[in-house]
Amino acid sequence: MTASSVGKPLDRVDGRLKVTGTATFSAEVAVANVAHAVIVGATISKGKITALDVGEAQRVPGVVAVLTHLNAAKVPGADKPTEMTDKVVQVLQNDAVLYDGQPIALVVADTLEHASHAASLVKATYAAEAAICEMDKEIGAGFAPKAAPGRPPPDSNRGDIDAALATAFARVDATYTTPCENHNPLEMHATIAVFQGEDHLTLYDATQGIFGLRKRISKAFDLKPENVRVISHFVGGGFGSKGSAWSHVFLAAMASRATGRAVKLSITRQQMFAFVGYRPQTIQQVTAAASKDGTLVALRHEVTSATSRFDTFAEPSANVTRMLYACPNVKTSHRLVRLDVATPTFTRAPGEASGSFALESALDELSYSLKMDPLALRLKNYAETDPDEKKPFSSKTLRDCYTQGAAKFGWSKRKPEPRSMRDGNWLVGFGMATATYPSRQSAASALARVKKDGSAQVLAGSQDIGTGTYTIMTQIAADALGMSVERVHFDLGDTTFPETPVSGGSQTASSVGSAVKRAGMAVRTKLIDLAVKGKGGPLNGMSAEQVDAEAGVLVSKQDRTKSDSYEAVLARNGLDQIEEKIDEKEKAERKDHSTHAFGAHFIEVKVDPDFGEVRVSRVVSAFAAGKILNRKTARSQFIGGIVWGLGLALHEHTERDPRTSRVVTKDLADYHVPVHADVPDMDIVMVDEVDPYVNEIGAKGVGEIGIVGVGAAIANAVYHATGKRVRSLPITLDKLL
Amino acid sequence: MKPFAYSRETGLDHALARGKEDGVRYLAGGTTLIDLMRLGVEEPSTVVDLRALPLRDIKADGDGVQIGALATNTEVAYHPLIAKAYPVLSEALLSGASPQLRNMASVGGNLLQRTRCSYFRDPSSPCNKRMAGSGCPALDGYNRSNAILGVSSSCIATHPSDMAVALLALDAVVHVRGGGGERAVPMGDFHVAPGSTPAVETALQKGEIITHVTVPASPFAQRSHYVKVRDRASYAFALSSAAVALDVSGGVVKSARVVLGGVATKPWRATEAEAELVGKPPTSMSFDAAGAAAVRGAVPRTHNAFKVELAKRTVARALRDLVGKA
Amino acid sequence: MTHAIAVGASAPDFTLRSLSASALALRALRGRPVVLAFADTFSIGGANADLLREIRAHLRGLGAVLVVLAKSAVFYFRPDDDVEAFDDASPELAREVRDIATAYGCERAMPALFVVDSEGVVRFARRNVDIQGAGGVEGALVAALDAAGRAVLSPKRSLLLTRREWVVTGLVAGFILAFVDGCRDNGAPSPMPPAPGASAAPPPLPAPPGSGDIDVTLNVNGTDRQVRIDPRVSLLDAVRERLALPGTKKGCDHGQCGACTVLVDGMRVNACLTLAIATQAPWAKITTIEGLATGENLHPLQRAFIAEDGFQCGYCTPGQIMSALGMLTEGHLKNDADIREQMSGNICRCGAYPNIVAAIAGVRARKEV
Repeated sequence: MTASSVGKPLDRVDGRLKVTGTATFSAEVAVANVAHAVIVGATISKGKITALDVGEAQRVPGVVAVLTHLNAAKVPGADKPTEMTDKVVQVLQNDAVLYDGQPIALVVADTLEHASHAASLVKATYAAEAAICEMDKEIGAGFAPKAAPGRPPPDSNRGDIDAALATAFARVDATYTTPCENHNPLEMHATIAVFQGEDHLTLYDATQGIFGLRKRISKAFDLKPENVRVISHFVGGGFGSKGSAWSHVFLAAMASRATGRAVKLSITRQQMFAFVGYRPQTIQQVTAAASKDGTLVALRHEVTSATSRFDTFAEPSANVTRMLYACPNVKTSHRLVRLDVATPTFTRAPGEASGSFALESALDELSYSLKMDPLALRLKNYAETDPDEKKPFSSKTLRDCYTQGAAKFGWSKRKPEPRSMRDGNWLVGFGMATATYPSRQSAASALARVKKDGSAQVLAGSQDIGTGTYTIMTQIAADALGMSVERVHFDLGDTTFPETPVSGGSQTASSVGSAVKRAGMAVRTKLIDLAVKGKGGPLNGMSAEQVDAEAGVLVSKQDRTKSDSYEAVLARNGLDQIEEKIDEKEKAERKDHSTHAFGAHFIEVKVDPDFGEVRVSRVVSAFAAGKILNRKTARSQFIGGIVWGLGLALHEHTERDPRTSRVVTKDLADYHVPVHADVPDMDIVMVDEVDPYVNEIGAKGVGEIGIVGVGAAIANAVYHATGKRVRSLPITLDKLL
Repeated sequence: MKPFAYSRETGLDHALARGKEDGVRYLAGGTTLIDLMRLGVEEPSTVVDLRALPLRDIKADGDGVQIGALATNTEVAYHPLIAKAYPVLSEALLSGASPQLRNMASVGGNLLQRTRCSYFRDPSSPCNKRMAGSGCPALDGYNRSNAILGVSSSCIATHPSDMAVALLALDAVVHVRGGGGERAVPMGDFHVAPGSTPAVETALQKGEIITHVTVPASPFAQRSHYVKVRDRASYAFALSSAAVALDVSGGVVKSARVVLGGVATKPWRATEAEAELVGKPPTSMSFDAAGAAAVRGAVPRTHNAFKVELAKRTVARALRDLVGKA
Repeated sequence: MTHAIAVGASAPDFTLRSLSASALALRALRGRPVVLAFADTFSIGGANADLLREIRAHLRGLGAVLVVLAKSAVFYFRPDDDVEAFDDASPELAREVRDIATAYGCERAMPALFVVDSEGVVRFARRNVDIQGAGGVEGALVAALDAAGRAVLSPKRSLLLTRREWVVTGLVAGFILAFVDGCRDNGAPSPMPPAPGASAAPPPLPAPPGSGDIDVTLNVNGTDRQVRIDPRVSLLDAVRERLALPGTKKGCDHGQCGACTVLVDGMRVNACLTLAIATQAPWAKITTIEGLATGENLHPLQRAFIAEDGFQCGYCTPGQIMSALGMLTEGHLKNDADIREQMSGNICRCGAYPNIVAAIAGVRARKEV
């Protein structure tokens, strides 16, 4: 057998490009004489534009065009989203202002300096209306969102929660809130749009979904999809915000069409807070009740999240409550309130990250009511099968995560009393929480090709947003082809490659990986067939089953001296290459199973007793996520998710002025994300798990589970350290004074 | 960014002459000016780069030290004369910004740092500091980072510097040159509270250049300490900070300095807190009393009310750490 | 029999059938502007790599397709792709090319250039192109494409034109500029790159001069580079947009993330808050991420970042590495525990912090910097 590459901690195949600064991100594609575009944003949150003075802007040297709603071409599809990731965009179609920072003009000039300066000279006059952004005041107007196709319904109810609550021994009723958070990938959204003639468009775009973008843009501009090419070889982080085509992509294309030039539009950091989505604020009411021995008898989780006036996105925070514990009586609901704000979107573990904060905090609170160890409470209510879908799990090794994580962390050293542990002046607290994330699979295609020089090229549309797609696909392909990784070149990020889903929902490894594996296997099968049935050769006449592939050489299993290289097979049969394209669907066995990854976080915090400053000092997190394709990149994904959880717990919140609904914290000095000094080293335990049902490669996806539960684990540790229960994230020091 | 002309001056007299022109801004490290120019808050028509002026030396000055206005924050923080004799200054500098910014930022520029108030930094928002009479949205808007001391009905913008807080505690003197020659401005007079003219932030007159800062020897300089409290472990502005210095002999505080940062419209010397300390033994009780005295008269608002308690504790803690350290 | 194809005429269609891959037909390119270049010889290898990169950048900017018909090879440039070269040297191909050249009336008038618009109409034709300078046909093509691009971009009117008008007028105006005035050195700044091998640095992408622009020299990675810039241009935008060194990243443009960290005279600074004009030679020496590796040999920090997986998306990485280098050489790092504080000016949104620290600590322990 070929030594397997999958599972090994292979260095990233694109590492060299990234450390030398030669990985080309969208705004860096060399386009000579490209025009630079800058968006002018509205400075009110609701109302109408009554006048736009662009005269001064147009007089700036180098300005090519100023697009406004008065002269921009109509884009009929702008407000007609069709897919789940599509958004209603504001692309200069009318005089309405719907949120702070909404694009109201686009300046195109020869240099960025000219465009930026001219943009600052566009003067808008508005008829402003009162804008509302305070969610708690609108909560009475909450409404139930429509269920998205293929996604769980907004409400659920199993058992009889009221009856169960009447008999409960211990009960927690609490309201938890999470704030608006902006993804803030370090690369700002950027597009270079190039119309070639009237009906061919190329977009170099920082996107998590090249095919979704192509579909949205080709429909909106009435172009043939095959005439729109999206290229995205490197993406500087996405976390959900680059999963949709936002206004700037349309605007760049409009500007290219209008001016006849290639147009580069890279939005500013401030604009990252305006029109590229965010995690909406939530208000979550949780009731958790148990009998005396800690058996959960009732869980109720009512979620309200905010959305815009003109589009709908619901943060599905209560879904996790439906399936995480074996509780017979569970009732959940999701409601939305409309505010004068931009539309929120998917943000790393949408729903699970915010919802697990509420659920896992409530369970911690319940553990104190019961005088029971928080870990013991979770083990007591371990769900052996999915209580929501009423199906067996395709695999679930959460128990091992709990025990291995707890052992490594030293959970048993935890003194149950709050405020009972110290390190010098610091208060010390231990907290834990469960992590889970669904393991999805979407249809995906891939093409594998072995060339006459014995090297392989493997193509799949897809994207690498830092998740390691280039690397793990190379490994999967190498194993499938029976080759060494050095001889396999995997490429992605181009709509001329086979179609793949959005890089979101932790589904790329599962979906694209399965297609790549099958494409590689198909080519290998063809090669073996040629070797045994084609022209001559040392393996001719054997049955295919007798032949093995190893580092690009076919070998007889019986007599290993008999071998035939891929080059030789191709040459002998007069072929330049052998290729196979595979269209992979969801694995059939998934239907009969519930598919989730699981994990457990054990976190130590230190809290300054005077100032309430919280420092995360230790993290041990254990995950069972099926086959780990690359231990190095997977560990990075887990760590990255946990760092996001740390930000969620302690730092991140986007604030608006309640009187104007305008964002006040719109840069990286006002919107804090964790820095080096906030993040300790971490101990990541990857629990072995074999899952034959989840997909072709047995991997569950690791991009999102890392963040899930971290908010609660830290909040629980803070409670343990201080005796103060903070139910409103982030846990800034003022909440602990 | 508005277009501007750039020139680099190598002689102080030339630079001073340029300063008389309309629309001139002096450039040193650029960490404030370029930032604000890109936001459209500063719009000079001419930028005169001072970095080639010979104003970068850090040297002994009698028993004290003289720091050139163009010395970078990094150079000052790690200079042996400073790190040993004026720990509060070194600590304050190293708690500020990032290593990159400290490599760029100058002492003179740091003194002239402008507020981080979000409304000030957004030219589409009213702000009395930017546009007199336009109003102060921070008063009743989102004001978590704003000041509770030295405020007026026109402005509650926090002064962001860490360094200036330490320099005030050390009785430093700012030396400036202008058309009328040289003058020395004690740190206590250098920054001014907003009152009804929030655009006026310092005693520096148009066309003047800070040449250097002198820090005298003092009985308390060496026993000095800076504590900074912020929203993350590093690379964040102070929610509250305190520079403290004590001269203790015979078990009694002879003289004391308590200066607050992050909570006031200018580096805020808390003389009432100092009075609580002088003449008493340095105990936790007097430190708490000093903390309480330091925030007397504070005007909390919707989102920054926590700063009253936080500043109080910051003072007490800085003093406790200082005594513990000694 | 040859007759000159005139501007305004339909471009004679042709199909190259003898290509080894698939046939290439002019008609199939309809819908995009096409530049046809006829030349005795044309090369895309070795010494011409920079010119090739420039040709591709220009085609992207124009949204145009280029077909180069040389006597023994055909090159097909689509704006978004690697060039496809058909280098058969077969007699069939040579014959096909000759026939096409005859149809375009240039078989004895090479090099020749034609612009065919998206409707298939010839909009520009020039035979016997005068080649000057070291770039040969390839260099002349770069100059022509650049002039065309500039013409498209320099707004001579405030009215918005339709896309088609722009492309046509732009390309035509550009080629006329290039071959009537531009190519015959009229003092306009030449986009011609230095002779191959003269400099390791990639050629700058031309940016049209604006008002108040000043010629400055920036010493970047040990090489003096001339740029004509507006005083507003930050050091960050100068290296990214003018010097074709996009390794230095823009993450906030306000000194709040560290992605733009470069070394100026060995000290790490935020290039976004630095004016390029204030760091010109000989006042300052600038080091960017592109200046770290020596040929194929990575810098120890680069190797360590790969080995420890000190990145995910890679966008903050150049800044992290430059900052780490500055930290290790500036001399203020106390111990390994201090790395976190000393690196806090560099945000990694992917959260690779523990791995970045491990990479730096390893380099430090091995005394590689």
